[in-house]
Amino acid sequence: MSAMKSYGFEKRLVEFEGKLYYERFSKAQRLQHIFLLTSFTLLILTGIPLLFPDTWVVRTMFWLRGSFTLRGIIHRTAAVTLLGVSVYHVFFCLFSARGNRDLREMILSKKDLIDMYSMILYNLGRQEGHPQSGRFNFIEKFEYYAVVWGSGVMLATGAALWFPVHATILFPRWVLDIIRVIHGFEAILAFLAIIIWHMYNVHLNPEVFPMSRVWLNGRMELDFLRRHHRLEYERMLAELPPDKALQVRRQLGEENPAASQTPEMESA
Amino acid sequence: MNYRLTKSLALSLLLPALLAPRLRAQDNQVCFECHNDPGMVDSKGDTLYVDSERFTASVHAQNGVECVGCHLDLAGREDWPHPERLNKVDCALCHAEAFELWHKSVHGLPAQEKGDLDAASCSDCHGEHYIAAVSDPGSPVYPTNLPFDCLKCHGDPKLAGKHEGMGRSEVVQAYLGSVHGQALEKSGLIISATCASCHGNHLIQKLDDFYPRIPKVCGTCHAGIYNDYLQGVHGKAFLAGNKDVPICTDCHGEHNILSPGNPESSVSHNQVNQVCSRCHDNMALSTKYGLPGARLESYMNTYHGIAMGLGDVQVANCASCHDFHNIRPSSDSKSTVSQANLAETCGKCHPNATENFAKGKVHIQGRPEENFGAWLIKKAYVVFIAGLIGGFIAYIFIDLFAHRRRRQAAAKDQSREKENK
Repeated sequence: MSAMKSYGFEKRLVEFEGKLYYERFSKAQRLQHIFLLTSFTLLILTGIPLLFPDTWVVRTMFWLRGSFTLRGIIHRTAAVTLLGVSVYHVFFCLFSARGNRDLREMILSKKDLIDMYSMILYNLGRQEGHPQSGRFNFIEKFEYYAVVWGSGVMLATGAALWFPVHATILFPRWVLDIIRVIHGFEAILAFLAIIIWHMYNVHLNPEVFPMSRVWLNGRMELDFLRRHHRLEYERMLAELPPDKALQVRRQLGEENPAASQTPEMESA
Repeated sequence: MNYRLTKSLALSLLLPALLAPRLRAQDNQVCFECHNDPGMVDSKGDTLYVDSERFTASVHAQNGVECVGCHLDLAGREDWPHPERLNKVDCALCHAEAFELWHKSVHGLPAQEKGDLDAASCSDCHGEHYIAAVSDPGSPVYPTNLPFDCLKCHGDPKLAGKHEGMGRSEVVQAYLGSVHGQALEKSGLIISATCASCHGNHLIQKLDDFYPRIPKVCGTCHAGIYNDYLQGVHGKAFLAGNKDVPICTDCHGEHNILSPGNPESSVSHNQVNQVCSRCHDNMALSTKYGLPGARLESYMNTYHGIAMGLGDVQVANCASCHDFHNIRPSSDSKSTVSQANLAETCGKCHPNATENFAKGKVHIQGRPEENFGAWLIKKAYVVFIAGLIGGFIAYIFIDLFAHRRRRQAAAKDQSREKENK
């Protein structure tokens, strides 16, 4: 089996309005993200208030009689949605070609640690040039594992809190009290990680400001790929059929005899 | 009917016979010749009208008591009209027992000792010429009318302000909105408590004398609850003469008692915690009796407390676990919160709760000795979150700073290029 087939770069190269793009996320992946985003937001909105019950904001939020019951219903509905998308994701990773390939690209290596260190040095001006990443850089890998870990912890602890009587068949209730502490703090951790780390990386970062649209249309500009995922870009060029590779290079104005005919691309 | 007929017959035969020497040929007709005129007034302009029909229907007339039966100074008089001022009618002549009780009451004493005419006497409650039997729905002291009768004075802020011990008028008036008042007003439930059911009728006592009797008074109707209360820790202490311990009214209120199902009630699902914590979140009382303090705070830290605080209407309150009237210390084997009974108590809301379910502190203050694991994990999370988020923020700042520096450097290069050109 050729390398090209195993990475499927030909499928990842998509044309839109006369331009070539790198397809970062497939439709199935984008849908998973939307389900994750919706359930996460609802879970945060209906869960975090319980950690600050004495604040004015939270009291006001529940001024309506019965709203607390509604909160519980929304929270559990969103939890089931999160469970659903998580289970789907497991199957997607294991059995779909796309998911399977992306999961392999997610595997952590020593390089990720070195990249992080090197990126900090670069940003501090101690090093020329930033580290070159593959399909997923160390930030993206970190975020992915954070979501996997967080969802696992929240689903497991949440299930125990949802069914306390069944949970206490397995362990005494003081363990459930610990689980409640974990559920709360893990929620704060997830909330802060998303609101600070993820929001910076996909919204406020000057590279993508005001927002990376990859989560909506799945397309990444080839130039962005070349600048931020250099290794992935190079591998794509190497593994694409020569005519396609030439097309990519031509679009980016690389080694192109007809460079004057295409508009000049902004360089990094 | 037969009894009444016999009684009135006997009285109508007996009374004239008793009063015969002074009565002579006189009867009510003579009085009504003048007094049946609605326009009849005295020298001050006050009405002297007595409606003959209503008088004839009164319990006195029906039983053969005529005008001169009360206005004794007119008995046997021949020349009319009589002088304007008559002697005060003395009800005690016939109603000696009621008078004796009234005499010792908060109403009778001031009248006797200070000549205080504001204090209610017989006619203030029962009326004058048209007095009806207490069992007559038209009587002002019939259960459905009695509260309004009392409120004539006790609902008057001016009068209440004048006399110490009358209580605040709005407090007394709150009775009308209470579960007792509403039962009386809406359903005509005459076994519902009226003023007299608790305070008595003729012998109404001062609060200090009344207070120790309150549980028993409530127990007259609420016998089962009274029994429960006496078996509980509060009731036992009350019987032993403890003054700090709550009695019925301390939790339920007095005149304004509402059904526990009413959200406004002090003992409603969402409010009863406040009632318990008046004592059980009170440092002085906790110290005095060696009780664990901060019971409300330690409850509010639990899921039950949080949900309660945010208006959940099903979540457990103090009474869900500790019971309402039969409250016992956890050391008592009959207590709902004794270790042996906890699983069953939890099971009221959490069906099939096992003993495992009851293992662990219920009231939580976040101290390490309560649940060391929870305490440790909390600390670990705080450190971890602070470190991680701190790291994120540091990274972001470095990143933003680097972007700015590179942009400035690029701009410098450009301007240099321009100069070179």
